[in-house]
Amino acid sequence: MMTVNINTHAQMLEAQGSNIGAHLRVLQSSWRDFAHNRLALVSLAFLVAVLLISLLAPLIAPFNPDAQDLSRALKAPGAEFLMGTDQFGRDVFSRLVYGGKITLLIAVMVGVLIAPVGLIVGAASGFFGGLTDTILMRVTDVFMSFPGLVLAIAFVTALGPGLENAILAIALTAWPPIARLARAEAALARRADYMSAGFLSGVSAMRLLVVFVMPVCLPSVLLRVTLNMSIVVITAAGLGFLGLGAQPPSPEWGAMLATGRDYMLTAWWLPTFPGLFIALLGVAFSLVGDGLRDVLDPRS
Amino acid sequence: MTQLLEAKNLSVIYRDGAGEHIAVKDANFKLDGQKTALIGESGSGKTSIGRTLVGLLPGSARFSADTLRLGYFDLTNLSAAGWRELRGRRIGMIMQDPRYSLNPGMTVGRQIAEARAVHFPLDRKELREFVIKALENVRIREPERVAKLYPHQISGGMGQRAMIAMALAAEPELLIADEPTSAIDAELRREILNLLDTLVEERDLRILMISHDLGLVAQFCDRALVMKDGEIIEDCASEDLTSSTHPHVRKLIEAAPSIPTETVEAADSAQPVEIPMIQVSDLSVVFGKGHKRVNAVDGVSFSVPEGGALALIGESGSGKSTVLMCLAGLQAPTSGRLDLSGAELGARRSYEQRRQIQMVFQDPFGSLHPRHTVDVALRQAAIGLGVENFEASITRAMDMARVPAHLRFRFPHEISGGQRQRVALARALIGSPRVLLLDEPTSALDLTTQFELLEQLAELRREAGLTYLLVTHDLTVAPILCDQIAIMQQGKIVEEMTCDELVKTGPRHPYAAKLFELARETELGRLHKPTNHTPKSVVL
Repeated sequence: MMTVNINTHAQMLEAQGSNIGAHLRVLQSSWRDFAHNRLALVSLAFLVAVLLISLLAPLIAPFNPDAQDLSRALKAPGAEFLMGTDQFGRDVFSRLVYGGKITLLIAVMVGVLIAPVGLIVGAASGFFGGLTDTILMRVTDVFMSFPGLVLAIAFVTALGPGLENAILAIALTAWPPIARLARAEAALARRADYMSAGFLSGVSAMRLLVVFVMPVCLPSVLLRVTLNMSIVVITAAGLGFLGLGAQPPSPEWGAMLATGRDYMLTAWWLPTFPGLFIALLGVAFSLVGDGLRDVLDPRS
Repeated sequence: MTQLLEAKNLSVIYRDGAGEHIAVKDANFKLDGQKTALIGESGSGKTSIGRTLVGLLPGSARFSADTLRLGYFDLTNLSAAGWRELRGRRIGMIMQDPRYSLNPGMTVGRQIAEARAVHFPLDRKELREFVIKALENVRIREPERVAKLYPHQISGGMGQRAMIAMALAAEPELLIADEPTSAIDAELRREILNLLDTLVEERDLRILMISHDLGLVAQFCDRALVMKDGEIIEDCASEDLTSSTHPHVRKLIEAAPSIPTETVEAADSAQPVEIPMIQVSDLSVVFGKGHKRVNAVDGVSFSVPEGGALALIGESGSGKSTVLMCLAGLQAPTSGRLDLSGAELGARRSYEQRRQIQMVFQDPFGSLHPRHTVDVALRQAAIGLGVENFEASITRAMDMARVPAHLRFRFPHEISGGQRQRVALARALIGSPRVLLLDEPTSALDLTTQFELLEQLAELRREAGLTYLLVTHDLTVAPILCDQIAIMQQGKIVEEMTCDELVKTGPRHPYAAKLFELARETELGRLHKPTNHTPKSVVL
């Protein structure tokens, strides 16, 4: 259905002739290639489903996620409570449905923060070279020299626990590899003949950076960010697990997993379902990223 | 002579998400001669045939054939073990560019030993002896030393010899050579072809040479197969090629490089001009420091009048491209002075100067931004040069460079090499320059495309009164475009002459004379008078 729409639109635009039409045409053939990768397509469908479910949470969740009722605490999964209830009698399924929004929000927000930062730092570093490159890359190296999760924990502890700070902390640890990647692409592009041609045409340095270098770096940056999402989801869950991310009673999946841990032996469903969804989401992001790589990789 | 290879109705089909592409369609051929040529432009399917014969088609491709037989091997129905036995032992293959086809992490000697050891169980000492002998056979001096070197430590010509030694290590009956000389310069080309010729004589070897250069293979091979759009359109003895009546073969013959017998037009700029368009005075460029110091350009002076055209000719490393880069402002001169129409061209250039001097690069893949459509590429240049009225100037530039209008919103990867080079030309023309710097503008193209583009550039120069500075290593290109040539060697201009003189008397300087002789040798024109052929040693 979707292909058909893009198809006719692109053809319509190409008949008129426009650069947007040309981009749509490329997008369409990329989508066709992507759709050939069944696993990536299924993963994308899963991500879209999680997104829709968490957006439509009030319509889907059978219970209020925060409503406590000790009389029905720790009920095993069954007909009434699909995935059981927790120690306060809250419905696990409803909480998972509501919590998806938070986990996705973290993943997307981190991506939105790190993609431009990584792209700008990396592209500028590779394009200008020299002192700019040295300074920017040493800063990047300092960030990269610590394990991501440890650094994120340090940041959150300093900033104070909470969802916003968790997002910020993860973003602070996730941008350096992206900057590195963008730099490598930019340094390659700098030596290309089309850059010399642009220079000969009197194109300004700023324009060369934005119009010539950044589009070359963009695919690998987007790809890296997507592949990174799975790590972000896991890191966010890790922070939640340590009590540094989303705070109770928020139904963030990592936090649910953390509190469920205490009841692991008596109520297996408490840690299992959040853990399962975190794992699935991480795998889905990573598979979509793999699919994107095959389509976007400029070397193929 | 027995038939070594026979193919009946061979087809090769590529499949991808978008559909099917028939690369080879019902090809019928036999290899019964010693040296057979497979000629065609890029995309004609010649490489697909070569790859089919060694079972190296990419995963998306399939072949089918009624008969495809090599000796007693039936290639249509061969197991993986059968292919292994075939490759190396029955068929050897050498590729276009030795820099990319040798393993950079292994010494030359080990790679040859490996190729031998796969088919012949030998002990260490025997292998070492074999490697030395194999390198000797491909006329490499000091084989003991070369065997221990890595591919990046040897020259291109030596690399190609090593490749041949590797391909012949297991004594195959057939050697497939895929454009074996297109990545090396004219001098080496002759040596490699001579070597192949001797090897054919020495061992009972057959060669299938894949090439787009009709002139070259027509001389080297005794039988020629010409391909177009996946079909074999001509199958004849090489000396009959020139009498072929097939229109496409005629076109290829016409495009074959040759030194014209008379210059296209005597310079219409003959009237003396007071201020030359380009004046280069005592230009020097030095790279590196200390013992790594290289004088890339060493005191070069020349001038080109308005509307004139000068070709800088020399082998790679002669400094010709560096001169061009200095004029373009992409390389800072160490010393010397550049003038454009009487005004000094310094490191900082005015808009006006930028506009007046533009460049077309060698590689049509690298010179266009992969994510810019033709329209965006031209528009960015127009913005950079401060051209007014984008719409009109883009249309005009596309028109002048003969870029078809329907390509305007295509990406570089969607158009052919020749068209890409036209787009690069349009981009150079958009600011109405007075000087065009041409850095081997046709060397990456098919011969027929080269020919068309050269004709067009010559016409453009006449019509728009442009001044050209051409850099090339190909003597046959220069007279089509230029009226003056300057021959460079090791950073110096060693000889200057008009193209008229070049065509009539030939160069005097020994290096230039050698270049000239080499260019003459591969000319197709010589086919017309086979009586002039003296045996092997001269004709290859």
